[in-house]
Amino acid sequence: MAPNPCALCTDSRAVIIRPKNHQKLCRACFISLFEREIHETITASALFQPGERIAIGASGGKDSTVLASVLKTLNDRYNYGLKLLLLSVDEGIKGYRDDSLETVKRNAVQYDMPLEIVGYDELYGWTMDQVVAQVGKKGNCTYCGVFRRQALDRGAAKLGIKHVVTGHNADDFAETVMMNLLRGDLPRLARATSILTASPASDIKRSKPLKYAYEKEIVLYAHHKQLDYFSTECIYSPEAFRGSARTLIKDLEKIRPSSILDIVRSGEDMARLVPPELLSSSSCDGGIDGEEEAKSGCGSTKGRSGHGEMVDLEKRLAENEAASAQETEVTLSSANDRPLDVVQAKPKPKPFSIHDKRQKGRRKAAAQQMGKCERCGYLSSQRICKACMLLEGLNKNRPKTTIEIGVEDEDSSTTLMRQVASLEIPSAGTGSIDEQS
Amino acid sequence: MPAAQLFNDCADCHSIEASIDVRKRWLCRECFIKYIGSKPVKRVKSYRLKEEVTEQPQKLLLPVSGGVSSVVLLQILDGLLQRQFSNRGRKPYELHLLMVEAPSLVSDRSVAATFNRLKQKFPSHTCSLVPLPEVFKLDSSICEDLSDLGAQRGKTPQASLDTLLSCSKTASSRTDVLQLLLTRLIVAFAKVNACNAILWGHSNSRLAAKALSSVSKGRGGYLPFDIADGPTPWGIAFYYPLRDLFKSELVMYTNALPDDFSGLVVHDLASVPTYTALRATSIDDLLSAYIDNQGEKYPSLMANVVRTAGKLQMPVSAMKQSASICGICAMPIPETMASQESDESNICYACQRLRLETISPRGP
Repeated sequence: MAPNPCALCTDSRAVIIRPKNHQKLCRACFISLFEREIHETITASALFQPGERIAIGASGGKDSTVLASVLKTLNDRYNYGLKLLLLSVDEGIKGYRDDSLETVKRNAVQYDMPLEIVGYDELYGWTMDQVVAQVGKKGNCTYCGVFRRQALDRGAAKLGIKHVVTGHNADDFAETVMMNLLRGDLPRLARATSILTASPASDIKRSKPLKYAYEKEIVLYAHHKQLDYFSTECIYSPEAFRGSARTLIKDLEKIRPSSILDIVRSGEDMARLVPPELLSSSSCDGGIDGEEEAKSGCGSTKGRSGHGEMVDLEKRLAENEAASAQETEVTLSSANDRPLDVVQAKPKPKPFSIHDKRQKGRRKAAAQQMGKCERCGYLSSQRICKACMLLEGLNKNRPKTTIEIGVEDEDSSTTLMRQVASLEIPSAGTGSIDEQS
Repeated sequence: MPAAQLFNDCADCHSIEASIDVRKRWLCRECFIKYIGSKPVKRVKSYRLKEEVTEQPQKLLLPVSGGVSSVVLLQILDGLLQRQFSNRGRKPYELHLLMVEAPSLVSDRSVAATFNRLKQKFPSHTCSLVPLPEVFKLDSSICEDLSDLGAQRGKTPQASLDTLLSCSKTASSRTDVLQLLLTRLIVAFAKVNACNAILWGHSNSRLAAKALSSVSKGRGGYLPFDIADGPTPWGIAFYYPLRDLFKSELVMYTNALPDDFSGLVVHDLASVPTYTALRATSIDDLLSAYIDNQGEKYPSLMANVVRTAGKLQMPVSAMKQSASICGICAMPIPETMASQESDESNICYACQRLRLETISPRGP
């Protein structure tokens, strides 16, 4: 008998302490258990249909590499009958994405899967390096997140694929739950907890088979299967809400390893408690293109926007409160510094949702009407989709570019943008990043 | 910025120099005390307790730990009741103070001493001091309910308590079990003494920590019952009149009051954040420390956690008699789960987790 036998097979020596429950396992048992749990997740949620073509959102990072490897294994083992392929997004981040894409290319060969790469520059006329050069480090992850969501969908559409899987793991889900609780975004909390997101208006489904897999176990799996993955984190990802939530979750995991799953569970249960009127009057511009995933290609799970996000929300909330305090307290003689006490019934037009720049007229908004973006034709609940809104802001400030209003034709506009991009911003590298921090 | 700040006179009365910065407004000591006092008073009035008054005035249980929050709540409500009495000649409700003697819950200052000081200071209310082991007498079904956590009826209540606590394998499970016992004791006491509701002294910071802690333990499915005002599955309403005030503001308040008051308070009751041994920290303590830390930088953000969690709505079915209720924590078990995990449907997900961190009692 081995000195420290595996808790399952008892033959081999245990070399792994499972992060999830501290079970001592040998290498083979860990790998098969890990795979079996993913299989159970897939079958319990009935994620796939036989014959379905699935695009795996592949960043070259550990999560998507493990996802690709496990799906291939399970597809063969359990005869899912899936046609798998890799779909990568090239954000245009030098020193990060170009290297990780090399990893994806090797993966494509290793797993014998076709690979499709869609680039921000061809889709939007902007690489992330250029976006960062323009908007700075703070907030650039918003652009990246919105752009990526569309990019994955467009890549899938191009291939005629209706189902994209991404490598979000249990830690990501737990972070998202905590993060949305911290920033008071219940609609997004509700949306982000489901393993399969399908909108009646969209024909491309998203699912996350690693939902219940611990990040630490994914790393262990990749290590013991000797998978080829890229481990550098996105150079632009700063700490934000997600960073704060992430630290918290790591601490919780140390105290009680099951915490991550417990938080995921809480999130699922809380999603059912979100009042329907909150869900429909969604706080972010458009439920679909307002991404619910900060992570998938970031490599890092750290953040989508600068830690200014927390400062900003704090400031706004404090202002709201100061305003409402004035309404009620300034009833006597006091000279009003700000004429805020006029609004009584509905104190401040600013709701607590942080993404809402515009004022919502009605309290109970009708359920989202999904339509097509007037500019690019992408699915959107707004007249103009979020990516186009962001692009408009970017292009406005791009030197010597005329403001494009009413551009109907997406192709010509992106071509124009691309040309301008290559002309006007020669060294769109890391110029302004240091200044920002 | 307002001109007021330039001259530094009080933003409310404009006659005295401001000395205290509260939520970006500078107030004088008097106005600050008034401001803090007004918040829980508004809350209590919003509960409309007096409307249900028949012949008997309502009786509200106010559990007092001796810490800043509960003593401040007591002080403010006492003042309110006295004003109401002198205005109208009667009190809309009665307060019943309860202190629980549990050595492990309070630092070294003796509970009895605090109790006596409070009794002297607030003589017009009924006061009770109950040791924690009494829960095994007051709550008749407790041993059966908590048998999964190792509860066994001992020769004395103290022995029962010792047995149960010795089953906890981690700091978190010990804290959770203690908290559970405390809640059950207070609820049972309230019922035995015919109280209509329980007024908790939780500050906003404490509620925020409680919300995050509940989520961390898998209790998100009944988060509203943990922090909202109103009826609970315990069969008695819970109210949190200090929900608008941060812990730090309550501390400022005690400092602003005359000296004889702050002497009443046992400072720093629970929160001793020990980062040295994270594993030995409980989840509750970790999240209290997190809220304290972040609350310094982002007070409104932390306040927003409570507001956000308060927007969640329990389904109507959760309060029905027929709803399946967790035998341990009394919270409704989500229906989907009851069907999925039918073998253990009388214990909720989170309590099953808790059970994993306790040693099962001897024997099958």
